[in-house]
Amino acid sequence: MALLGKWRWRLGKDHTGIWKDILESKYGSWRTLEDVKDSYHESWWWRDIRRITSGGQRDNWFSRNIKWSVGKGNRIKFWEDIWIGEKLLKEKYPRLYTNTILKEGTLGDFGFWDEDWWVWSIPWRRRWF
Amino acid sequence: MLYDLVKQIEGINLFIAKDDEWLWRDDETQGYTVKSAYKMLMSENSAHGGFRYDVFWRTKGLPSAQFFAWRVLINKVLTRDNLYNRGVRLGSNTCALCEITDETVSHLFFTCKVATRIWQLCDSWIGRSSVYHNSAGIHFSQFELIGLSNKRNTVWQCMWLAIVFGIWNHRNKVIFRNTKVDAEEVFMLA
Repeated sequence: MALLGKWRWRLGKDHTGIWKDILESKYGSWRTLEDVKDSYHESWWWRDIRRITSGGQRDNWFSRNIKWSVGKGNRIKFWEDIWIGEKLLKEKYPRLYTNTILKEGTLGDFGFWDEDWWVWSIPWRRRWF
Repeated sequence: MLYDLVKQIEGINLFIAKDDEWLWRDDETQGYTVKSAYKMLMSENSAHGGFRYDVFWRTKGLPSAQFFAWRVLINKVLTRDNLYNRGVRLGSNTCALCEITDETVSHLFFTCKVATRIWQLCDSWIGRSSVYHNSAGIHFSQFELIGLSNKRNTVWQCMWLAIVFGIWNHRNKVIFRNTKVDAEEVFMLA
């Protein structure tokens, strides 16, 4: 398990390699590993990686030990990754989540640069005030 | 609610020069290592009352016996039921030692009357008698005697490895070389 976890780690990190390009072109990025269902046309390699690291296995031992470190906001999903606090923002603020027009985007889509300062700006479906 | 969210994120600044990145909580500088993941998984295992592999691997038996015993623990030995599950049809799944019950790991090594006899011999050797469990993991952990030093217990646990391995070799002899079933012999060899 610990050995297979290394593959998962390298998929999520920025390592490059032909093995990674092949896997990603066949199955999509590591994010598709979060689906719990098997599908019959996957290779055993991919299936093993998913089975040992996806939810359900040892209380999510893998994702529990991953922490996002914020950079320019190009990879972290604002609502759907745990990047601040211990919970997904969409679970912590479900009503805000239903009221946003941008559900998928990464941090960089939720604001703009004012010289060196990052200014948050979340696009809402309707005005709050 | 909106206020809470704004409050929560307003202090966070992004860094234009850096990509978003994963960190491994156990070791944020080095990242994921097999060693740290293994350690984590194992420590959770023992915290949940799972099998103590650290104790198991500390025993100093013959490597071949130790490795074989490990496969017994994880039920990966080719007993007849496991062969059957892998599609090898032998016609009969009966245990070669007692010729009554189906041969499973738990039966062959722990509940078969021949196996029980061997474990009894083992007990009488040190002058005790005990009721053993039929699951390999618990059975092994019963081989730790209170009041015995750690060092002596490792020796005693070696005995467990030797017997498990011995039962297997004996079973193979009975099947492939038609020898007689003999519990005493297994014990003496161990």
